[in-house]
Amino acid sequence: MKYIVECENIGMQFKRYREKNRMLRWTILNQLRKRQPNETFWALKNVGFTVRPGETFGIVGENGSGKSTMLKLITGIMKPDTGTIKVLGRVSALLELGAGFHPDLTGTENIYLNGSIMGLTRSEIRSKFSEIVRFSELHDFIDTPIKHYSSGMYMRLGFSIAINVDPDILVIDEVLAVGDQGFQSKCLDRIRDFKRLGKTIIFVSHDLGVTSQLCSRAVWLDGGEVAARGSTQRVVDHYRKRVQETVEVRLEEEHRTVEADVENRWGNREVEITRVEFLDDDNHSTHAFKTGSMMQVKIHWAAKNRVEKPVFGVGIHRNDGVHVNGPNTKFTGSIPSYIEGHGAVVYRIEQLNLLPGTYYFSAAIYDYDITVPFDHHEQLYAFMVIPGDCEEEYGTFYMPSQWSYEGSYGPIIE
Amino acid sequence: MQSVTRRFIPDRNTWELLGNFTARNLKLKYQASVLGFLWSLITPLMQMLIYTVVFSVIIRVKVDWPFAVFLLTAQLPWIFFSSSLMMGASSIIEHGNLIKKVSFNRSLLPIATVCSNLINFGITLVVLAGFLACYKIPVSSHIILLIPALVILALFTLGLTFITAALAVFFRDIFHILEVILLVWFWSVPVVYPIHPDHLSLLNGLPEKWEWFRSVYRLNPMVDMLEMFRYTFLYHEWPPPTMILSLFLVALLTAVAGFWIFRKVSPNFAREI
Repeated sequence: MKYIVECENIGMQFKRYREKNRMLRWTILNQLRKRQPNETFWALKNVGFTVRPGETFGIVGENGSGKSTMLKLITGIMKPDTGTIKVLGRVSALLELGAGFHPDLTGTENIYLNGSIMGLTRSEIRSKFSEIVRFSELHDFIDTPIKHYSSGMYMRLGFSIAINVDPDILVIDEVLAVGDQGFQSKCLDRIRDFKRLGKTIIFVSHDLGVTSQLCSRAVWLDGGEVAARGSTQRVVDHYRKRVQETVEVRLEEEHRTVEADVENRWGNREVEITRVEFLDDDNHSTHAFKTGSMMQVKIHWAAKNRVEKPVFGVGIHRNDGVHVNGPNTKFTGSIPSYIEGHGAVVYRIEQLNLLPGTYYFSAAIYDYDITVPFDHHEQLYAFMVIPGDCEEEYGTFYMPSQWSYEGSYGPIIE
Repeated sequence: MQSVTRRFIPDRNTWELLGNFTARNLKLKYQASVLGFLWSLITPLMQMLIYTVVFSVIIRVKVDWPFAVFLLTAQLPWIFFSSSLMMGASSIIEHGNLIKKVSFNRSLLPIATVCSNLINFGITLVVLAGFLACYKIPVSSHIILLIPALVILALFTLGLTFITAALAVFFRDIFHILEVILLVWFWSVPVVYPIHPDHLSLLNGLPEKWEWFRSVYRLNPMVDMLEMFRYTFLYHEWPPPTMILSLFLVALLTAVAGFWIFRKVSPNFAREI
């Protein structure tokens, strides 16, 4: 068996309903008028890829690019309009956790019903029952109708069943984006276990970090067509570049609307911040920086009159509100005795050791006592940090560091 | 079962899933209400009471048996038939989420609807037996007709349920249409009036030039399917073997056609729902 999933020339057409009108009347009328009731569009076009047994395969793409449709074809929920798709073995899909749950049934009843919908026999479910309950951490609630469950409990039960189906192919669709951190990492661990057991996984996610970590090969769908395919590194790099470009455009736009912002800008404007530029080490303007790369921020100012000893300050916040830093020229003792006309100050970070995410930049000019704001731009400038060479992913910072051992230990393995 | 090439012969899991769906249907139907499964008895009994008052007391339809028993013998199978069709119509669309997210044998949903209705029907037949005992109507060897009668009606119902289930996905007004059809159908089959040749009925007293009406009337397979139940419990005579055979063929054909149509359109369910 060379391939466990083989897709060739897949095409899938959908109707775009103007309104969800399923009245018989319309169908008949439209038939009479010999007219196509609705326009159609191709959700997938000419898509082809193969997945080898034991491989973890990624599907990346933006919303509406056809990823979910592709998964539905692999799981057999839908059939393609053109092309062929061959799947060997039992597929378990984490498309939506607890899709078959019935709120009035208890956890136990739902495990049996859902398990059998997923293709397990009664005795198979019985033998996995305690493991399902254990993994879901729902022991005390297993005989409660699940309408009384919280959404987290609901999801945990759904995941536990799906992962315990013991499929040959596990299909995972962005479900990991939900749920608390603890359960998320537990799910990821479970997926890694799965991988270790040599099972085939098809993984769909926005999260490029996780995708490139888990997957060996991937396909990138763009507008229903294959934009790139091959090793994950190659695909993810391509995809990241595109995402960066679109993000760049968006941030650029946000950047330009700063003028109008009154809520996050204050000061007497004796000195005005006229422009804030993000530059990379080649002095190219950008809004996306790799972890560990150089970041330069050029703050342009214009002063109405000569201003004595102005203090320049900046700050970085993560998009969840974490205050990362907030240096100013007074701390570092680099205050000019006066400024006049226009000019710019450059704030240069030799190594931007922030972990990937979206961040906001603030810039301000104050008087020497930092009591009178001339112009303060609070978190008006967004920029993105994208994965660089460092492998870390938890927390806020990458801090260059080493590990060493003492005592008796074996040779270090990679 | 998840593979795209689905096997035609049901495996162990398929049977169990059918059992689970059926059990769930019954459980959900009765669990939420206080009186539970008694409801499946109360509704037909109320109907029986009303029809008995209207047709035997007010309009005075003459039958050779206690009217209540006469009525129940055809009314109970009719309720099985009509409620299967109605519930079957919603069997796919009410599981829209499941259809869109999980791959499984979709035909099990309408089949499970018919199965759970069949079980209900079985329970109501026990009540019918009680009535028969009350009115001291003897049970004869004709009771074995119950088997072909049930098989024929179940197959026919299943076939039509497949069709209503599939149609409902594409046309939501099927429910209104179905209601009208069932209303007309109910009055065009011998539930509240007799048609047996030995007894007074509209069909027997027909003037000669209306003879054709009898043949047309008999074309409706439900007429004889319901009569099968009266042969079983009331007439104490054997129906013509050709009738059983032709009914069986019609039922089988309907079931096969229904299943075929359902399988034909079921790949589009996930897209249309």
